[in-house]
Amino acid sequence: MSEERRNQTADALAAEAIRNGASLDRRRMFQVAAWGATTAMAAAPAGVALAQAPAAPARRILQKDDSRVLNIGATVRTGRFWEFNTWQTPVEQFYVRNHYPTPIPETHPVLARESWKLKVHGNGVERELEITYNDLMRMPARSIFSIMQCHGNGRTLFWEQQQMRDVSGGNWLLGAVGLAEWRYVPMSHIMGLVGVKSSAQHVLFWSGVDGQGDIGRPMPMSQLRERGDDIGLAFQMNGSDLLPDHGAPVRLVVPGWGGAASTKWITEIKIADHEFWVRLNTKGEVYIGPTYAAPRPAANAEYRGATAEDVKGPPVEWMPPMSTLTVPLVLQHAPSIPANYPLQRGQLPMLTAGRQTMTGYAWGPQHGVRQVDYRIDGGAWMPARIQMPNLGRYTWVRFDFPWDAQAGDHVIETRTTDGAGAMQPAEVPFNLFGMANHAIPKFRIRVA
Amino acid sequence: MIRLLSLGAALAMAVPVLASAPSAQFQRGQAAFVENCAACHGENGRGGSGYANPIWGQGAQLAKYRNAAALFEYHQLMMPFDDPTRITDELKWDLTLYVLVRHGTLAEGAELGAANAASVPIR
Repeated sequence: MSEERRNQTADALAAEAIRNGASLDRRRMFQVAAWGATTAMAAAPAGVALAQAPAAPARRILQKDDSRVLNIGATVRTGRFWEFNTWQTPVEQFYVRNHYPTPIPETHPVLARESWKLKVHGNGVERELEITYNDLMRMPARSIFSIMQCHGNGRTLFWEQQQMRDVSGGNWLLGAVGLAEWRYVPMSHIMGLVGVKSSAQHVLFWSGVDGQGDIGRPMPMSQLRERGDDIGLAFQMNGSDLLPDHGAPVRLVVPGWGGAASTKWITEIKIADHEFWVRLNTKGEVYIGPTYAAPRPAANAEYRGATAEDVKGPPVEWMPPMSTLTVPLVLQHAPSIPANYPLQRGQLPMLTAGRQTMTGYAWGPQHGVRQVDYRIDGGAWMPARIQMPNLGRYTWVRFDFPWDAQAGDHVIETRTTDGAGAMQPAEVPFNLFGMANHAIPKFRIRVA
Repeated sequence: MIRLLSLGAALAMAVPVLASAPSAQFQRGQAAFVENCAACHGENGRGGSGYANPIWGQGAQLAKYRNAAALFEYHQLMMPFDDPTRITDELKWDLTLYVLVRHGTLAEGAELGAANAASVPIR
Protein backbone atom coordinates (compact mmCIF):
# COMPACT_ATOMS: atom_id res chain seq x y z
CA MET A 1 0.00 0.00 0.00
CA SER A 2 1.51 3.35 -1.02
CA GLU A 3 1.85 6.14 1.50
CA GLU A 4 -0.70 8.22 -0.39
CA ARG A 5 -3.15 5.34 -0.34
CA ARG A 6 -2.47 4.78 3.37
CA ASN A 7 -3.20 8.43 4.04
CA GLN A 8 -6.41 8.26 2.07
CA THR A 9 -7.43 5.19 4.00
CA ALA A 10 -6.60 6.86 7.29
CA ASP A 11 -8.63 9.92 6.29
CA ALA A 12 -11.57 7.74 5.33
CA LEU A 13 -11.38 5.85 8.59
CA ALA A 14 -11.21 9.09 10.55
CA ALA A 15 -14.22 10.46 8.71
CA GLU A 16 -16.13 7.29 9.38
CA ALA A 17 -15.16 7.33 13.03
CA ILE A 18 -16.47 10.90 13.30
CA ARG A 19 -19.69 9.93 11.62
CA ASN A 20 -20.33 6.73 13.48
CA GLY A 21 -18.42 7.10 16.69
CA ALA A 22 -17.92 3.37 17.03
CA SER A 23 -14.72 1.45 16.57
CA LEU A 24 -14.11 0.57 12.97
CA ASP A 25 -13.18 -2.99 13.75
CA ARG A 26 -16.53 -3.43 15.32
CA ARG A 27 -18.32 -1.94 12.36
CA ARG A 28 -16.43 -4.18 10.00
CA MET A 29 -17.39 -7.22 12.00
CA PHE A 30 -21.04 -6.30 11.59
CA GLN A 31 -20.60 -5.72 7.90
CA VAL A 32 -18.97 -9.06 7.32
CA ALA A 33 -21.35 -10.99 9.48
CA ALA A 34 -24.59 -9.34 8.54
CA TRP A 35 -25.88 -10.24 5.14
CA GLY A 36 -24.11 -12.95 3.21
CA ALA A 37 -26.46 -13.27 0.28
CA THR A 38 -24.62 -11.39 -2.40
CA THR A 39 -24.25 -14.29 -4.78
CA ALA A 40 -26.56 -12.95 -7.48
CA MET A 41 -24.72 -9.66 -7.53
CA ALA A 42 -21.29 -11.21 -7.34
CA ALA A 43 -21.98 -13.53 -10.27
CA ALA A 44 -22.40 -10.65 -12.70
CA PRO A 45 -19.32 -8.97 -14.19
CA ALA A 46 -18.86 -5.92 -12.00
CA GLY A 47 -18.64 -3.38 -14.80
CA VAL A 48 -21.79 -4.59 -16.47
CA ALA A 49 -23.71 -4.67 -13.24
CA LEU A 50 -22.72 -1.11 -12.41
CA ALA A 51 -23.59 0.19 -15.84
CA GLN A 52 -26.90 -1.57 -16.25
CA ALA A 53 -28.40 -2.07 -12.82
CA PRO A 54 -28.15 1.12 -10.78
CA ALA A 55 -31.31 0.16 -8.90
CA ALA A 56 -29.73 -2.90 -7.31
CA PRO A 57 -28.17 -1.98 -3.93
CA ALA A 58 -25.81 -4.09 -1.89
CA ARG A 59 -27.88 -6.55 0.06
CA ARG A 60 -27.20 -5.44 3.59
CA ILE A 61 -30.42 -4.73 5.34
CA LEU A 62 -29.30 -4.83 8.97
CA GLN A 63 -25.93 -3.92 10.43
CA LYS A 64 -26.19 -6.18 13.41
CA ASP A 65 -24.44 -9.50 13.80
CA ASP A 66 -27.09 -12.21 13.58
CA SER A 67 -25.44 -14.63 15.98
CA ARG A 68 -27.04 -13.39 19.20
CA VAL A 69 -30.53 -12.59 17.94
CA LEU A 70 -33.06 -14.76 16.13
CA ASN A 71 -33.84 -13.94 12.50
CA ILE A 72 -37.60 -14.08 12.08
CA GLY A 73 -37.87 -12.10 8.85
CA ALA A 74 -36.25 -9.60 6.55
CA THR A 75 -35.48 -6.71 8.91
CA VAL A 76 -36.78 -8.31 12.06
CA ARG A 77 -34.75 -9.99 14.81
CA THR A 78 -36.20 -11.21 18.06
CA GLY A 79 -34.29 -11.68 21.27
CA ARG A 80 -33.24 -15.20 22.28
CA PHE A 81 -35.20 -14.86 25.51
CA TRP A 82 -34.53 -18.44 26.54
CA GLU A 83 -30.87 -17.39 26.86
CA PHE A 84 -31.43 -14.09 28.66
CA ASN A 85 -29.69 -13.87 32.01
CA THR A 86 -28.67 -10.23 32.50
CA TRP A 87 -30.86 -7.48 33.90
CA GLN A 88 -29.67 -5.02 31.28
CA THR A 89 -29.85 -6.40 27.75
CA PRO A 90 -26.60 -6.17 25.77
CA VAL A 91 -27.15 -4.29 22.52
CA GLU A 92 -25.98 -7.36 20.63
CA GLN A 93 -28.87 -9.34 22.12
CA PHE A 94 -31.45 -6.59 21.66
CA TYR A 95 -34.34 -7.23 19.30
CA VAL A 96 -34.68 -5.17 16.12
CA ARG A 97 -37.92 -4.31 14.44
CA ASN A 98 -37.39 -2.15 11.38
CA HIS A 99 -39.88 -1.75 8.56
CA TYR A 100 -37.20 -1.19 5.94
CA PRO A 101 -33.48 -1.83 5.54
CA THR A 102 -31.55 0.12 8.15
CA PRO A 103 -30.67 3.57 6.79
CA ILE A 104 -27.00 4.46 7.30
CA PRO A 105 -24.96 7.60 6.56
CA GLU A 106 -23.44 5.96 3.48
CA THR A 107 -26.86 5.67 1.85
CA HIS A 108 -28.64 8.49 3.72
CA PRO A 109 -26.13 11.32 4.26
CA VAL A 110 -28.58 13.27 6.42
CA LEU A 111 -27.93 10.66 9.12
CA ALA A 112 -24.24 11.55 9.40
CA ARG A 113 -23.75 13.43 12.64
CA GLU A 114 -22.28 16.44 10.90
CA SER A 115 -25.36 16.82 8.70
CA TRP A 116 -28.19 15.52 10.92
CA LYS A 117 -30.83 18.12 11.77
CA LEU A 118 -34.06 18.04 13.69
CA LYS A 119 -36.87 20.44 12.90
CA VAL A 120 -39.46 21.23 15.57
CA HIS A 121 -42.43 23.14 14.25
CA GLY A 122 -46.22 23.34 13.95
CA ASN A 123 -48.98 25.66 15.02
CA GLY A 124 -48.61 24.46 18.61
CA VAL A 125 -45.25 26.15 19.16
CA GLU A 126 -44.30 29.77 19.68
CA ARG A 127 -40.95 29.44 17.88
CA GLU A 128 -39.80 26.95 15.28
CA LEU A 129 -36.52 25.29 16.05
CA GLU A 130 -33.86 23.53 14.04
CA ILE A 131 -31.08 21.79 15.93
CA THR A 132 -27.94 19.96 14.86
CA TYR A 133 -26.26 17.02 16.54
CA ASN A 134 -23.77 19.38 18.16
CA ASP A 135 -26.63 21.52 19.46
CA LEU A 136 -28.15 18.41 20.98
CA MET A 137 -24.85 17.46 22.64
CA ARG A 138 -24.77 20.84 24.38
CA MET A 139 -28.22 20.39 25.89
CA PRO A 140 -28.89 18.91 29.33
CA ALA A 141 -29.13 15.13 29.08
CA ARG A 142 -30.20 12.42 31.45
CA SER A 143 -30.37 8.63 31.53
CA ILE A 144 -33.20 6.26 32.14
CA PHE A 145 -33.39 2.50 32.46
CA SER A 146 -36.37 1.32 30.48
CA ILE A 147 -37.54 -1.66 28.58
CA MET A 148 -38.24 -1.30 24.88
CA GLN A 149 -40.76 -3.71 23.45
CA CYS A 150 -42.44 -4.37 20.14
CA HIS A 151 -46.24 -4.16 20.05
CA GLY A 152 -46.21 -7.59 18.44
CA ASN A 153 -44.30 -9.29 21.25
CA GLY A 154 -46.35 -12.29 22.33
CA ARG A 155 -48.25 -12.51 19.03
CA THR A 156 -47.24 -16.19 19.00
CA LEU A 157 -49.65 -16.77 21.90
CA PHE A 158 -52.62 -15.97 19.63
CA TRP A 159 -51.64 -18.91 17.46
CA GLU A 160 -50.38 -21.31 20.10
CA GLN A 161 -52.80 -20.73 22.96
CA GLN A 162 -55.90 -19.10 21.50
CA GLN A 163 -56.29 -20.82 18.10
CA MET A 164 -56.66 -17.43 16.40
CA ARG A 165 -55.18 -18.24 12.99
CA ASP A 166 -56.40 -15.00 11.40
CA VAL A 167 -53.97 -12.93 13.42
CA SER A 168 -51.25 -11.70 11.07
CA GLY A 169 -47.67 -10.61 11.60
CA GLY A 170 -44.22 -11.83 12.53
CA ASN A 171 -43.56 -14.70 14.90
CA TRP A 172 -41.89 -12.82 17.77
CA LEU A 173 -42.36 -15.46 20.45
CA LEU A 174 -41.57 -13.54 23.66
CA GLY A 175 -38.21 -12.03 22.72
CA ALA A 176 -39.19 -8.66 21.25
CA VAL A 177 -38.28 -6.93 24.47
CA GLY A 178 -35.11 -5.78 26.14
CA LEU A 179 -33.94 -3.38 28.82
CA ALA A 180 -31.43 -0.65 28.06
CA GLU A 181 -30.04 2.46 29.63
CA TRP A 182 -31.02 5.30 27.32
CA ARG A 183 -29.24 8.65 27.39
CA TYR A 184 -31.34 11.44 26.00
CA VAL A 185 -32.25 15.09 25.96
CA PRO A 186 -35.67 15.23 27.59
CA MET A 187 -38.59 16.56 25.58
CA SER A 188 -39.34 18.90 28.49
CA HIS A 189 -36.19 20.82 27.51
CA ILE A 190 -37.16 20.93 23.83
CA MET A 191 -40.66 22.06 24.79
CA GLY A 192 -39.18 24.93 26.77
CA LEU A 193 -37.09 26.02 23.79
CA VAL A 194 -39.99 26.13 21.34
CA GLY A 195 -42.63 27.39 23.78
CA VAL A 196 -45.55 24.99 23.61
CA LYS A 197 -48.89 26.78 23.29
CA SER A 198 -51.79 25.76 25.49
CA SER A 199 -53.69 24.99 22.28
CA ALA A 200 -51.26 22.18 21.37
CA GLN A 201 -53.09 18.84 21.45
CA HIS A 202 -50.99 16.37 19.49
CA VAL A 203 -47.38 15.80 18.51
CA LEU A 204 -46.04 13.88 15.52
CA PHE A 205 -42.58 12.34 15.68
CA TRP A 206 -41.36 11.68 12.16
CA SER A 207 -38.33 9.98 10.66
CA GLY A 208 -38.54 11.24 7.09
CA VAL A 209 -35.52 9.04 6.41
CA ASP A 210 -36.74 5.52 7.13
CA GLY A 211 -37.71 3.54 4.03
CA GLN A 212 -40.21 5.23 1.77
CA GLY A 213 -40.78 8.19 4.07
CA ASP A 214 -43.87 6.81 5.76
CA ILE A 215 -42.52 6.05 9.22
CA GLY A 216 -43.33 8.10 12.29
CA ARG A 217 -45.93 8.20 15.01
CA PRO A 218 -48.12 10.71 16.80
CA MET A 219 -49.14 10.90 20.45
CA PRO A 220 -51.33 13.18 22.53
CA MET A 221 -49.52 16.18 24.00
CA SER A 222 -50.82 15.08 27.40
CA GLN A 223 -48.06 12.44 27.40
CA LEU A 224 -45.36 15.08 26.94
CA ARG A 225 -46.95 17.36 29.51
CA GLU A 226 -47.16 14.54 32.08
CA ARG A 227 -43.76 12.94 31.50
CA GLY A 228 -41.69 15.23 29.33
CA ASP A 229 -38.70 14.41 31.52
CA ASP A 230 -38.99 10.70 30.71
CA ILE A 231 -39.60 10.98 26.96
CA GLY A 232 -36.67 12.28 24.98
CA LEU A 233 -34.27 12.38 22.08
CA ALA A 234 -31.91 9.47 22.70
CA PHE A 235 -28.40 9.28 21.33
CA GLN A 236 -26.90 6.51 23.46
CA MET A 237 -27.95 3.01 24.42
CA ASN A 238 -26.16 1.19 27.25
CA GLY A 239 -23.51 3.89 27.34
CA SER A 240 -22.49 3.67 23.70
CA ASP A 241 -23.65 5.73 20.77
CA LEU A 242 -26.69 4.29 19.07
CA LEU A 243 -26.07 1.67 16.40
CA PRO A 244 -27.66 2.31 13.01
CA ASP A 245 -30.14 -0.54 13.58
CA HIS A 246 -31.35 1.22 16.71
CA GLY A 247 -31.83 4.64 15.15
CA ALA A 248 -28.44 6.39 14.92
CA PRO A 249 -27.67 9.15 15.32
CA VAL A 250 -30.83 10.17 17.23
CA ARG A 251 -34.13 8.46 17.98
CA LEU A 252 -37.06 9.12 20.21
CA VAL A 253 -37.53 7.02 23.34
CA VAL A 254 -41.00 6.76 24.86
CA PRO A 255 -40.57 4.56 27.94
CA GLY A 256 -43.39 2.11 28.51
CA TRP A 257 -45.15 2.48 25.19
CA GLY A 258 -44.60 0.00 22.37
CA GLY A 259 -41.47 0.50 20.32
CA ALA A 260 -43.32 1.97 17.34
CA ALA A 261 -43.77 5.17 19.36
CA SER A 262 -40.01 5.55 19.73
CA THR A 263 -39.33 6.82 16.21
CA LYS A 264 -35.84 5.94 14.97
CA TRP A 265 -33.71 8.20 12.74
CA ILE A 266 -35.89 11.11 13.77
CA THR A 267 -35.67 14.39 11.84
CA GLU A 268 -38.98 16.16 12.51
CA ILE A 269 -41.29 16.93 15.42
CA LYS A 270 -44.58 18.65 14.65
CA ILE A 271 -46.68 19.99 17.50
CA ALA A 272 -50.19 21.04 16.56
CA ASP A 273 -53.71 21.75 17.70
CA HIS A 274 -54.99 18.82 15.60
CA GLU A 275 -54.53 15.07 15.49
CA PHE A 276 -52.36 13.13 13.04
CA TRP A 277 -53.08 9.90 11.19
CA VAL A 278 -50.18 8.07 9.58
CA ARG A 279 -49.27 4.51 8.61
CA LEU A 280 -48.24 3.51 12.13
CA ASN A 281 -51.48 4.43 13.82
CA THR A 282 -53.79 3.10 11.09
CA LYS A 283 -52.41 0.28 8.93
CA GLY A 284 -50.39 -1.23 11.72
CA GLU A 285 -49.74 -0.91 15.45
CA VAL A 286 -53.49 -0.65 16.18
CA TYR A 287 -56.12 -2.90 17.75
CA ILE A 288 -58.58 -4.00 15.07
CA GLY A 289 -61.20 -6.49 16.19
CA PRO A 290 -64.80 -6.90 17.32
CA THR A 291 -64.10 -5.67 20.86
CA TYR A 292 -62.29 -2.51 19.76
CA ALA A 293 -64.06 0.65 18.60
CA ALA A 294 -62.46 2.62 15.77
CA PRO A 295 -61.54 6.19 16.71
CA ARG A 296 -63.41 8.91 14.83
CA PRO A 297 -60.92 11.28 13.23
CA ALA A 298 -61.61 14.96 13.80
CA ALA A 299 -62.50 17.11 10.82
CA ASN A 300 -59.25 19.06 11.05
CA ALA A 301 -57.01 15.99 11.36
CA GLU A 302 -53.79 15.89 9.36
CA TYR A 303 -53.02 12.80 7.27
CA ARG A 304 -49.67 11.53 6.03
CA GLY A 305 -49.80 8.36 3.92
CA ALA A 306 -53.19 7.40 5.34
CA THR A 307 -56.81 8.45 4.94
CA ALA A 308 -59.83 8.61 7.23
CA GLU A 309 -60.95 5.24 5.81
CA ASP A 310 -57.77 3.66 7.17
CA VAL A 311 -58.69 4.49 10.76
CA LYS A 312 -60.08 1.15 11.95
CA GLY A 313 -58.93 0.71 15.52
CA PRO A 314 -57.30 2.44 18.46
CA PRO A 315 -53.50 2.71 18.50
CA VAL A 316 -51.57 0.60 20.99
CA GLU A 317 -50.05 2.83 23.66
CA TRP A 318 -48.94 1.49 27.07
CA MET A 319 -47.67 -2.07 27.00
CA PRO A 320 -49.55 -4.30 29.45
CA PRO A 321 -48.06 -6.54 32.18
CA MET A 322 -46.23 -9.54 30.74
CA SER A 323 -43.82 -12.27 31.75
CA THR A 324 -41.67 -15.01 30.32
CA LEU A 325 -39.61 -17.92 31.52
CA THR A 326 -36.18 -18.36 30.00
CA VAL A 327 -37.52 -21.42 28.24
CA PRO A 328 -38.29 -21.55 24.51
CA LEU A 329 -42.00 -21.70 23.66
CA VAL A 330 -43.26 -24.79 21.91
CA LEU A 331 -44.32 -23.91 18.37
CA GLN A 332 -47.06 -26.16 17.10
CA HIS A 333 -49.62 -23.94 15.34
CA ALA A 334 -47.61 -20.85 14.41
CA PRO A 335 -47.51 -20.19 10.66
CA SER A 336 -43.71 -20.17 10.64
CA ILE A 337 -40.79 -21.55 12.60
CA PRO A 338 -37.70 -19.31 12.58
CA ALA A 339 -34.84 -21.07 10.84
CA ASN A 340 -32.49 -21.12 13.83
CA TYR A 341 -35.07 -21.73 16.54
CA PRO A 342 -33.81 -24.38 18.96
CA LEU A 343 -37.03 -26.43 18.71
CA GLN A 344 -38.61 -28.12 15.71
CA ARG A 345 -42.33 -27.80 15.16
CA GLY A 346 -44.12 -29.48 18.06
CA GLN A 347 -40.89 -30.29 19.90
CA LEU A 348 -40.73 -29.71 23.67
CA PRO A 349 -37.67 -28.30 25.44
CA MET A 350 -35.96 -30.90 27.61
CA LEU A 351 -34.98 -30.56 31.24
CA THR A 352 -33.17 -32.95 33.58
CA ALA A 353 -35.18 -34.38 36.46
CA GLY A 354 -34.40 -33.12 39.96
CA ARG A 355 -34.21 -29.78 41.72
CA GLN A 356 -34.15 -26.96 39.16
CA THR A 357 -34.15 -23.19 39.52
CA MET A 358 -36.51 -21.73 36.95
CA THR A 359 -35.84 -18.12 35.97
CA GLY A 360 -37.78 -15.50 34.09
CA TYR A 361 -38.53 -11.86 33.41
CA ALA A 362 -41.60 -9.80 34.25
CA TRP A 363 -42.58 -6.29 33.25
CA GLY A 364 -45.53 -3.91 33.34
CA PRO A 365 -44.18 -0.49 32.43
CA GLN A 366 -47.26 1.61 33.13
CA HIS A 367 -47.20 0.88 36.85
CA GLY A 368 -44.20 -1.34 37.49
CA VAL A 369 -44.10 -4.94 38.72
CA ARG A 370 -45.63 -5.70 42.11
CA GLN A 371 -45.72 -9.48 42.08
CA VAL A 372 -44.95 -12.49 39.92
CA ASP A 373 -46.69 -15.83 40.41
CA TYR A 374 -46.25 -19.19 38.78
CA ARG A 375 -48.08 -22.47 38.76
CA ILE A 376 -47.18 -25.93 37.58
CA ASP A 377 -49.55 -28.29 35.78
CA GLY A 378 -52.58 -26.18 36.69
CA GLY A 379 -51.87 -26.30 40.44
CA ALA A 380 -52.06 -23.46 42.94
CA TRP A 381 -50.46 -20.11 42.09
CA MET A 382 -47.26 -19.55 44.07
CA PRO A 383 -45.25 -16.34 44.39
CA ALA A 384 -41.92 -16.29 42.58
CA ARG A 385 -38.91 -14.59 44.14
CA ILE A 386 -38.29 -11.19 42.58
CA GLN A 387 -34.59 -10.46 42.21
CA MET A 388 -33.32 -6.97 42.83
CA PRO A 389 -32.99 -4.48 41.26
CA ASN A 390 -36.55 -3.36 40.67
CA LEU A 391 -35.95 0.24 39.64
CA GLY A 392 -39.36 1.64 39.01
CA ARG A 393 -42.13 1.18 36.57
CA TYR A 394 -40.20 1.25 33.29
CA THR A 395 -37.83 -1.58 34.14
CA TRP A 396 -38.43 -5.29 34.23
CA VAL A 397 -37.52 -7.65 37.04
CA ARG A 398 -35.91 -11.03 36.97
CA PHE A 399 -37.63 -13.70 39.02
CA ASP A 400 -36.95 -17.30 39.98
CA PHE A 401 -38.48 -20.24 41.79
CA PRO A 402 -37.36 -23.76 42.64
CA TRP A 403 -38.92 -26.75 40.94
CA ASP A 404 -38.51 -30.40 41.76
CA ALA A 405 -38.88 -31.59 38.22
CA GLN A 406 -40.30 -35.09 37.86
CA ALA A 407 -40.07 -37.12 34.67
CA GLY A 408 -42.89 -36.44 32.24
CA ASP A 409 -44.43 -33.52 30.35
CA HIS A 410 -45.33 -30.40 32.31
CA VAL A 411 -46.82 -26.96 31.82
CA ILE A 412 -45.52 -23.94 33.75
CA GLU A 413 -47.44 -20.67 33.68
CA THR A 414 -46.20 -17.26 34.83
CA ARG A 415 -48.28 -14.24 35.76
CA THR A 416 -47.30 -10.63 36.43
CA THR A 417 -49.33 -8.30 38.64
CA ASP A 418 -48.48 -4.65 38.16
CA GLY A 419 -48.40 -1.78 40.64
CA ALA A 420 -52.03 -0.89 39.93
CA GLY A 421 -53.19 -4.46 40.50
CA ALA A 422 -53.63 -5.35 36.83
CA MET A 423 -52.89 -9.02 36.25
CA GLN A 424 -52.09 -10.98 33.12
CA PRO A 425 -55.33 -12.60 31.88
CA ALA A 426 -55.83 -16.17 30.68
CA GLU A 427 -56.72 -14.89 27.19
CA VAL A 428 -56.90 -11.58 25.37
CA PRO A 429 -59.49 -10.59 22.73
CA PHE A 430 -58.76 -11.07 19.04
CA ASN A 431 -57.06 -8.28 17.17
CA LEU A 432 -56.08 -8.58 13.53
CA PHE A 433 -52.46 -7.49 13.79
CA GLY A 434 -51.79 -9.54 16.92
CA MET A 435 -50.89 -6.58 19.13
CA ALA A 436 -49.87 -6.86 22.76
CA ASN A 437 -50.87 -10.42 23.60
CA HIS A 438 -50.20 -10.41 27.32
CA ALA A 439 -52.06 -13.59 28.17
CA ILE A 440 -50.48 -15.86 30.79
CA PRO A 441 -47.91 -17.82 28.78
CA LYS A 442 -47.86 -21.60 29.03
CA PHE A 443 -44.40 -23.15 28.85
CA ARG A 444 -44.44 -26.84 28.00
CA ILE A 445 -41.40 -28.73 29.24
CA ARG A 446 -40.37 -32.38 28.97
CA VAL A 447 -38.45 -33.72 31.97
CA ALA A 448 -36.35 -36.85 31.49
CA MET B 1 -28.43 -11.17 -14.26
CA ILE B 2 -27.00 -11.51 -17.77
CA ARG B 3 -30.28 -12.79 -19.15
CA LEU B 4 -32.08 -10.05 -17.38
CA LEU B 5 -29.89 -7.40 -18.93
CA SER B 6 -30.33 -8.72 -22.45
CA LEU B 7 -34.05 -8.73 -21.82
CA GLY B 8 -33.71 -5.10 -20.80
CA ALA B 9 -31.87 -4.29 -23.98
CA ALA B 10 -34.61 -5.91 -26.05
CA LEU B 11 -37.24 -3.98 -24.15
CA ALA B 12 -35.64 -0.70 -25.01
CA MET B 13 -36.59 -1.32 -28.63
CA ALA B 14 -39.99 -2.84 -28.00
CA VAL B 15 -43.16 -1.04 -26.96
CA PRO B 16 -43.23 -2.04 -23.30
CA VAL B 17 -46.78 -1.50 -22.10
CA LEU B 18 -50.24 -1.81 -23.65
CA ALA B 19 -49.79 -5.26 -25.19
CA SER B 20 -52.97 -7.26 -24.71
CA ALA B 21 -52.20 -10.97 -24.30
CA PRO B 22 -50.66 -11.90 -20.93
CA SER B 23 -46.90 -11.92 -21.30
CA ALA B 24 -44.86 -14.96 -20.38
CA GLN B 25 -43.35 -12.80 -17.65
CA PHE B 26 -46.79 -12.06 -16.23
CA GLN B 27 -47.61 -15.77 -16.20
CA ARG B 28 -44.35 -16.58 -14.45
CA GLY B 29 -45.08 -13.85 -11.94
CA GLN B 30 -48.57 -15.15 -11.31
CA ALA B 31 -47.32 -18.67 -10.65
CA ALA B 32 -44.53 -17.39 -8.42
CA PHE B 33 -46.98 -15.26 -6.45
CA VAL B 34 -49.19 -18.22 -5.69
CA GLU B 35 -46.22 -20.29 -4.66
CA ASN B 36 -44.21 -17.74 -2.67
CA CYS B 37 -46.44 -14.84 -1.61
CA ALA B 38 -50.04 -15.92 -1.29
CA ALA B 39 -49.49 -17.65 2.05
CA CYS B 40 -48.96 -14.28 3.70
CA HIS B 41 -50.76 -11.88 1.37
CA GLY B 42 -53.69 -13.99 0.10
CA GLU B 43 -54.11 -15.06 -3.52
CA ASN B 44 -56.11 -11.89 -4.13
CA GLY B 45 -53.50 -9.69 -2.45
CA ARG B 46 -56.02 -8.46 0.10
CA GLY B 47 -54.22 -9.92 3.11
CA GLY B 48 -53.42 -13.23 4.75
CA SER B 49 -51.83 -14.83 7.75
CA GLY B 50 -48.56 -12.94 7.42
CA TYR B 51 -49.74 -9.45 6.55
CA ALA B 52 -53.29 -8.19 6.90
CA ASN B 53 -53.16 -5.12 4.67
CA PRO B 54 -53.87 -5.20 0.90
CA ILE B 55 -50.75 -5.06 -1.25
CA TRP B 56 -52.39 -3.84 -4.45
CA GLY B 57 -55.49 -1.93 -5.45
CA GLN B 58 -57.71 -0.06 -3.03
CA GLY B 59 -56.03 0.62 0.30
CA ALA B 60 -52.57 -0.58 -0.75
CA GLN B 61 -49.51 1.55 -0.12
CA LEU B 62 -47.84 1.05 -3.47
CA ALA B 63 -47.80 4.70 -4.52
CA LYS B 64 -45.15 5.49 -1.94
CA TYR B 65 -42.62 3.61 -4.05
CA ARG B 66 -43.21 6.12 -6.86
CA ASN B 67 -41.80 3.81 -9.55
CA ALA B 68 -41.35 0.13 -10.35
CA ALA B 69 -37.61 0.20 -9.73
CA ALA B 70 -38.13 1.18 -6.10
CA LEU B 71 -40.76 -1.52 -5.65
CA PHE B 72 -38.39 -4.09 -7.16
CA GLU B 73 -35.67 -2.91 -4.79
CA TYR B 74 -38.01 -3.45 -1.85
CA HIS B 75 -38.80 -6.95 -3.06
CA GLN B 76 -35.13 -7.63 -3.63
CA LEU B 77 -34.18 -6.72 -0.07
CA MET B 78 -37.25 -7.67 1.91
CA MET B 79 -39.27 -10.40 0.26
CA PRO B 80 -40.06 -13.21 0.80
CA PHE B 81 -40.04 -12.06 4.39
CA ASP B 82 -38.71 -15.30 5.87
CA ASP B 83 -35.73 -15.35 3.52
CA PRO B 84 -35.27 -12.70 0.82
CA THR B 85 -32.62 -14.83 -0.88
CA ARG B 86 -34.99 -17.72 -1.40
CA ILE B 87 -36.01 -16.63 -4.91
CA THR B 88 -33.97 -15.12 -7.70
CA ASP B 89 -33.89 -11.50 -8.80
CA GLU B 90 -35.23 -12.60 -12.15
CA LEU B 91 -38.31 -14.06 -10.51
CA LYS B 92 -38.65 -10.91 -8.42
CA TRP B 93 -38.93 -8.88 -11.62
CA ASP B 94 -41.71 -11.25 -12.70
CA LEU B 95 -43.42 -10.79 -9.34
CA THR B 96 -43.04 -7.02 -9.42
CA LEU B 97 -44.67 -7.02 -12.84
CA TYR B 98 -47.48 -9.24 -11.57
CA VAL B 99 -48.17 -6.96 -8.60
CA LEU B 100 -48.20 -3.87 -10.81
CA VAL B 101 -50.58 -5.49 -13.29
CA ARG B 102 -52.95 -6.35 -10.45
CA HIS B 103 -52.61 -2.80 -9.15
CA GLY B 104 -53.60 -1.45 -12.57
CA THR B 105 -50.25 0.16 -13.31
CA LEU B 106 -49.26 -2.14 -16.17
CA ALA B 107 -51.12 -4.23 -18.73
CA GLU B 108 -50.94 -8.02 -18.64
CA GLY B 109 -48.90 -8.01 -21.83
CA ALA B 110 -46.24 -5.71 -20.42
CA GLU B 111 -42.68 -6.67 -19.58
CA LEU B 112 -40.65 -5.23 -16.74
CA GLY B 113 -36.93 -5.16 -16.12
CA ALA B 114 -34.04 -3.00 -15.01
CA ALA B 115 -34.09 -1.09 -18.29
CA ASN B 116 -37.60 0.33 -17.98
CA ALA B 117 -38.56 0.04 -14.31
CA ALA B 118 -37.48 3.52 -13.27
CA SER B 119 -39.75 5.02 -15.93
CA VAL B 120 -42.86 3.12 -14.78
CA PRO B 121 -44.57 5.42 -12.28
CA ILE B 122 -46.82 3.90 -9.58
CA ARG B 123 -49.92 5.78 -8.52
